[in-house]
Amino acid sequence: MRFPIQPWLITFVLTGSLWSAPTPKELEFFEKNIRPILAEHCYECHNSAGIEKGGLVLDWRGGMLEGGDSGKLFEAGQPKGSFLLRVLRHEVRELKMPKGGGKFSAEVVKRFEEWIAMGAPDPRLKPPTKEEITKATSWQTTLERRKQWWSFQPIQDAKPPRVEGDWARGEVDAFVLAKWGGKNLAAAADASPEVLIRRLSFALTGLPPTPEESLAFTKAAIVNRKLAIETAVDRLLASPRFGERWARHWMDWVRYTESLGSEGDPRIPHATQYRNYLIRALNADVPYNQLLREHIAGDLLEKPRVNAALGLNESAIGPAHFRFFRQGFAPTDALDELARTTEDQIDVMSKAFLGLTVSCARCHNHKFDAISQKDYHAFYSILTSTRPATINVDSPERKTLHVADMKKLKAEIRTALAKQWLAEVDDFAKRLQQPDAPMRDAINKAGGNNNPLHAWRQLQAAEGEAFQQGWARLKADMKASFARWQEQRTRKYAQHWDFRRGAAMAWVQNGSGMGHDQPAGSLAGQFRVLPKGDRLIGDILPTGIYTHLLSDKHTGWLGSPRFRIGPNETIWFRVRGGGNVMSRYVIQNYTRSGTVYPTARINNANWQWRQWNLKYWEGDDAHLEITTAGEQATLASGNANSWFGVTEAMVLKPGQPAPRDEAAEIILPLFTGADPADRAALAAKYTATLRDCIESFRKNEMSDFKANFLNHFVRANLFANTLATAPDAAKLIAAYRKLEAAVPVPQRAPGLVEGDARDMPLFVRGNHKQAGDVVPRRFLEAFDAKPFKTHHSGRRELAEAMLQPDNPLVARVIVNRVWHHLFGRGLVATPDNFGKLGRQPTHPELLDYLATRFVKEGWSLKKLIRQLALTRTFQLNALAPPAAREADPENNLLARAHLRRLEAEAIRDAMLQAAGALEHRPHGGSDDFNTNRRSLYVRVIRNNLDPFLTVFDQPVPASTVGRRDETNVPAQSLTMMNSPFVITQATRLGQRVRDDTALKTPVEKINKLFQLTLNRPPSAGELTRAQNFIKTNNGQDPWRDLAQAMFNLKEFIYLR
Amino acid sequence: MKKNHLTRREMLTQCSTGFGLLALQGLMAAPRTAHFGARAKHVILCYMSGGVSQVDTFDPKPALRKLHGKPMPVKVERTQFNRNGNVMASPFEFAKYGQSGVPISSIFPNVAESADELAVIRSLTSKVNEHAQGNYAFHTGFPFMGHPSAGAWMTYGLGTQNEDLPGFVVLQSGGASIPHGGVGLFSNGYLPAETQGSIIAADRTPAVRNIQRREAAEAQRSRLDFVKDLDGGFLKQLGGDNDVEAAVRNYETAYRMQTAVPELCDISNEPEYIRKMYGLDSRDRQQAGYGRQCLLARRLVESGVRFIELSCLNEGIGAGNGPNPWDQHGDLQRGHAAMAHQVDKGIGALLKDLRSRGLLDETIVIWAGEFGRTPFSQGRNGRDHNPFGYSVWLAGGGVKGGTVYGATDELGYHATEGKCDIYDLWATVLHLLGLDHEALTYRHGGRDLRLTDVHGSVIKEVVA
Repeated sequence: MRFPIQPWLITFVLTGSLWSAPTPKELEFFEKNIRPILAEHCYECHNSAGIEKGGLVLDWRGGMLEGGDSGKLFEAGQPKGSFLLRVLRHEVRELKMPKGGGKFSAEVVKRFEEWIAMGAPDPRLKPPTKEEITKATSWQTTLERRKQWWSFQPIQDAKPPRVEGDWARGEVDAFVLAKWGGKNLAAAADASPEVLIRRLSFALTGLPPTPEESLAFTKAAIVNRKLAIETAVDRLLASPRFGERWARHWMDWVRYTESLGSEGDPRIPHATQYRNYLIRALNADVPYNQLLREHIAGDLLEKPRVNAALGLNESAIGPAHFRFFRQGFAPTDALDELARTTEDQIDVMSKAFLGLTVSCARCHNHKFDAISQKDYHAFYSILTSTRPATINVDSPERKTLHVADMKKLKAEIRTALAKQWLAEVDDFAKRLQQPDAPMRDAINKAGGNNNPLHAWRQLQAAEGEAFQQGWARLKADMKASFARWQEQRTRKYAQHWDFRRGAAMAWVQNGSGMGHDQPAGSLAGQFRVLPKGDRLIGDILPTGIYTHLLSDKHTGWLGSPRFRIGPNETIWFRVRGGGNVMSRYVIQNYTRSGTVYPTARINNANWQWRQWNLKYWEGDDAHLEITTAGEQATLASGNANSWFGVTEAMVLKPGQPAPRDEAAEIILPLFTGADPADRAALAAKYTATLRDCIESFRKNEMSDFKANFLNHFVRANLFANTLATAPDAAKLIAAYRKLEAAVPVPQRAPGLVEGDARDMPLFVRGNHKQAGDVVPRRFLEAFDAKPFKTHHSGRRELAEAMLQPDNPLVARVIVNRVWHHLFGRGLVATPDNFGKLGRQPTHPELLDYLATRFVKEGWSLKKLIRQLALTRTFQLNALAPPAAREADPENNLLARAHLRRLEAEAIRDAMLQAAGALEHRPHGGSDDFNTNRRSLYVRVIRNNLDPFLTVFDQPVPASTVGRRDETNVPAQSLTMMNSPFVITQATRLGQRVRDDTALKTPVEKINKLFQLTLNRPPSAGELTRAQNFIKTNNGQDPWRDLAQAMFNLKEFIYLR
Repeated sequence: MKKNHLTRREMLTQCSTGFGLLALQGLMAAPRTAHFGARAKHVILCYMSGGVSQVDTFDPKPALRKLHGKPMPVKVERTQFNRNGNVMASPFEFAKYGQSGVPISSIFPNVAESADELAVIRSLTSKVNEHAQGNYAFHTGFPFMGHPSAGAWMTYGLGTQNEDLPGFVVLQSGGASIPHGGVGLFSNGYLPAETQGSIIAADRTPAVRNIQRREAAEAQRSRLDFVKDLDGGFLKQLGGDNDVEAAVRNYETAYRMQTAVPELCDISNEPEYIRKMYGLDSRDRQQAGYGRQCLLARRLVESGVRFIELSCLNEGIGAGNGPNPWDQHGDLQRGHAAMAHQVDKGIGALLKDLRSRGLLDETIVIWAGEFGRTPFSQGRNGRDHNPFGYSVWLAGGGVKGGTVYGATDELGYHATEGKCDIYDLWATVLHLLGLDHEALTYRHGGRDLRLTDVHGSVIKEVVA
């Protein structure tokens, strides 16, 4: 421990002749440039409150002047040789400051240099108190300071500068031009029509112009360049190819994928639905704020955007991107997996739409930006309150097609059947005593004591005392069974969800088959109209949750509330179902099956108890999930007719007996009321009981007992339930079946369903095994720290918070993304990071002007693109005068066009188009690489990415990529030289030109080749060279060779 | 060259080398100065995909024999299959080898001959218990795709020595497949593209995707000359452009690679005794296949390649499969014996061959998989995954041979001494290459990222 310098000593020294009080200007310099850096990056480890690493204290002037174990930091007034500056410049090995945060920018270091040069003016004459240090280093202070960063500042409605001359065509150009003031910057010339139409066409549609389009434009531009450009831009914006081009950009932002990665690399069912959604939305110019809202909470919107032609709820497809996370195979630490997949979701959502790296704040507050660890966990609480699923994205109309009519018919069917059965029941006692064939059969089969006819079978021959004793015995058995059943129901389970007692309300229910009786589940006495065959209705059902009350094409996603698994527990549930229903217990929202993640398909129309031992997962959060075949997030299967019913579920503590069916659940009604004295009375009791049951059925007021009781007789064909025997009902059934047949198989997409919302504890230092304070669901505290008022996940509130006018990020980020894709580089060169480690805007006023206008004009991407494409800045040549290139080598001032390499997809598509092979078949699923469709329809399978697209930098789907790499490696040349795909296209292109009878001479053919590949005629020199090439070519097919040569030209893959 | 990580000004300064001097990897990967004195220049990773059982290879546990068939005396952690049986002794015998007496199982007789070269680490741990994530964690430090592979980091850190070959090569033969997780295991992630792993199929034509020309050489040459002429005109129109120039030069490099790669893979001029030593004449075709990778690895080291990863071949025993051949959830004895037989001969030869040529001093050989296996059985005769403590070894440049570092408990279940993880292993390897693992960073997505994430310390005990 070092002996602390006494403050009075310093004050004494400083008040001597060497020191003169800092001027206000110097103090301002310190406050603005030095203190914030010290407080933010240094105080934590170098303070007067006990932490003085390296013996250095930086929170007051005395400490700064004294230096640390390595000596003095600087001599005031002499920046040269300053140890501090060397450390900041990372010139001292083993001592690179700030710790773990990368190097300060040259600008920051320069400020320190200036400050030392001016004598290190420093008003901090006393060491701060502990409270002062705490305050200075507190998150609140840091947050306030970091909120001053440019991207967190409100968007300024910047007025376009007044500029001289007629160079600027509009306000955007004026902003650009104004930046050139005082610099020796002659703008590049306007691009030639040939160059411009190629640039426009690629930028807007991702395809080169056809030779015809190119020639027409060139001609039109000679007459009226402005008009020609406007016409071309409007034509390209209206092309269906526009949406395909910009959808692919968008897919980069959300790391589009069709598989989860890892061992097995399973597909994400219906992922392509999301791609097609983007294409449609962009072609229709759906406002960006609407699309953002849809991406966060599109499935929850009250007024979704409906595509009537396709019968789609477009909005509901938006959240599919949340499902593009990378997921491992059978992780033994499931919470770790949830923490990682959720981080993946947060990472992409915040980078793509906010330009912020929120996921950097998982383990601690963000190192550089105004993002706290709690912010990260607020998002975590929101997203873990949802559950991954495949969701039904039919429009409300399609989802509910014929539902009202089918319900109405069902009520009539119920009445008709009840009427007939009531008529039939009068004879029942007689039929028992003089059984016809079906009755005899039913009685013979009534061996089990859970059969309502069991009593009759036992007592049908009994007389007098024997009868009474027999009845008493049966009644006692029934009572014992009832008592067991009651005990089973009231037993104290670890979890118990009994749908007869309202538990269904707490369950997560989703799908078109849910809620057709009561909002959550259905009461006893419901039934299903059989879709075909002689029999009319299926079972009369007890209280439960059913998906098929109207049609088994309807969907059902059913999930229990989350529960924490205790030691040695088992989970049980009573279920019936058909069509590959999936049941499983889900640990920490993990979507896959395998080894320690068991599942069970349900393909049995009778009630059954299923169970799993949960011992392995003790301490983890789980939920029970039962879904129709298509609704599983990952484990979906293709059965179109799939249905299930569940009555209850429970988690048993160790040692508790297994739940079981009880006879009383079925036969109880027979034993209520007065005891029968003899057989005749028993027969009459059957009649009376059944009449009562049918009456209840008619009124739709059944108990489970009555439903089960009556069902037995209907099922045994003791009451009319066929086309022939119930003609009145049969007519209604025919009408019903017609409607049901027209119920469509749903359209699906990857999505989320709202789970039981819960605020989750923060992970201390990012360690998922160490829970900290619970963090409520809310937006970033830099904007609004108020918890959302909702019982749901908070996604809707999150979407609205992102779109609040006081959040400047959303509009700036998207405007910059559009600029990036049009010009080749954004005004902010790091489109995914508007934080401190990102680049700052080259034209902040222009960015704000565009953002303001974008919002004001209705968030229209097409308007924005049109506005930018019509600027003179966009239309410049890539070649600028040498002096201008010297003055601005990076082209920050936009006095010329950026030269850029085409994206992988554009290169491939351009080859296909030139070869005449490009097949425009939009939407639908994905294809193998060998498809002739555009490249964005090539499958994206994480463990098997396409080598051609990958070598030209189509991103690996791992995180947001707003700016693709433009690598330059020999593997690209090898691909263009030797890959079968390229050779095939070259062969096609060669044939196309060679065999075109309209092209009479080699010159015409060469000309055509140039037009098809470069959108320009060859120069005289090129023509000669090409003619020689054809003449002297030794290969089999000179035209094929020349065609491949065109593909190999750098001009083919570079856009100028 | 990766445009996005260089400003134009930076590129102008970097691209001032002449037209013909372009390295295959581009200029980013040109040889660079190490952070401090390097002990080695190359790495050969013999990756044992699927999970090798430590107690059957390099971590003998006599206690298992005593407890064989009895229930595990300690708490059993979650396993991937949850079909946990009783303690299972190793079916193999161990003996001490070399002057140092490093204990090695009988299934590695050839490697055992170089026992004094090995530094066995018996206390490596992994955070994940599943193949794909384990493979990613091992290769990139993170359990998912998206981050650079160790080979890419080392190529990035050291640059390449050979202009016609990639700095990071993954060898395959005999139909060996990529471990679970796919080609992303060899990705450059956010590092420059030139650092990515190139797969060379040692025994196949073409050995590298698209390396084989599909036309006569003269036809290709005359087309490339035509292309070069026209590219020249394009460049002139642009007033020069570094990216375009580099793309032009890439065609020339690619043209040369078409010859260079097959030459490299052609082992016909290797002497008979060498071919025999590597087992190329073996009747065990898998052994011959793996031996061929080992021999090629030596040739790649001689050619200046920085990082070479070898791929095991499938024996199809237990749950072992193409991507995870060591994965004996069942039939462990047969499976591990076959796998060891496959790799032992070639690796043993490689160690000796490198030593005799003086190359072992500048080459680090790593023998490792993604995790170990349980000391108790899975089912009747297999073992489940065990990430809590397993064995790997290093040999060669800067490595302290004849060392055993760290220990597991008496059952070989959990690391108890010198517990370390993959970050420590890579920190150590980087250290031997003269690179400070904390200083080898790359800024991406707003963070300065490392192969060792925020962890890792050099295991000094295995450094000579």
